[in-house]
Amino acid sequence: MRCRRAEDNHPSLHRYDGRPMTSLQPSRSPGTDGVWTFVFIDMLIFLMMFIVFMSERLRHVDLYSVSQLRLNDIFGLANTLILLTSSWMVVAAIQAALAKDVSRVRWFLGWAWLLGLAFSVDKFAEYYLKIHAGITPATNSFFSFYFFITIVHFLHVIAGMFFIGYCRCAARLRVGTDRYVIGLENVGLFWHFVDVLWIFIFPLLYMVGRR
Amino acid sequence: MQRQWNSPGVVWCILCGLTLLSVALVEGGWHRSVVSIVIVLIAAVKSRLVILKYMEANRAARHWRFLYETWNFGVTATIVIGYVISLRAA
Repeated sequence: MRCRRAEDNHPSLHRYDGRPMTSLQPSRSPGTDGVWTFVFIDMLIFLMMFIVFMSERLRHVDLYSVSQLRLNDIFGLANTLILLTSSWMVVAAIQAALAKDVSRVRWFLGWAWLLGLAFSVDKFAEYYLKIHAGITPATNSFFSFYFFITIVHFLHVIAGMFFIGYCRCAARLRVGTDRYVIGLENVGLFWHFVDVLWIFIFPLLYMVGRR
Repeated sequence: MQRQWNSPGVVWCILCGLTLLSVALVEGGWHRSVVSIVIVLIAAVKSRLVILKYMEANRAARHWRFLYETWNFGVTATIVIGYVISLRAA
């Protein structure tokens, strides 16, 4: 009986019916195990990309160092600052959701989404300038990796923007429910993962070993 | 004091400061090989901050924190070791 009560209090068992539900336990784990697992598998895939990039770099050290000079690190710096700020906005939105403050949740998620859009504009501008200068994935193996890694990362940004947009739309009806908070934490996990990836992609492609 | 350190805004300031420091080191004309290793280590610190403070891996089940921190170490080691080997090969 005692055991059953403990299970009943578990947030994942709460049914969504549009009404505010009981508060989540402060000591519980953020998000759900499924998303922690998904994100970790995705991280392993990127780790493998980085290993292949570094092993290929060993074969063409001079080519990679010279090719890096053709990248503009201002774009990379701007994207890093944009994603860091966007991550902060998502953390603030989760805190607002725990406080059941709908307007602040929508405000912070709105900014997180707009910063994702700013990242996209920056990325498109960078790709446009590269292609305009005759640099394509076929130029050499460094640029093949550059386009492949950044495009795969960019697809993650687009997916994250979709989830953030959905959470912002759903906020008006669902803020105050445990299910919404857990969903938003899952979106936050994914968005921070996108941020963590860029934290490594920026030095890897733009700065390490540049001449 | 502990609460201030855990504040997302303070973490954001540290992350941005470390990012600007990395770029300043690269643009500052310091010794290239040392700077390359330092900026990867700075990236590792930034990544760990995001994992612990924003993803809240320190509140998640212990195995998640272990796996995510191991990943962080693995990526850092991959880039640093790969770069050091390339210096020897050059």
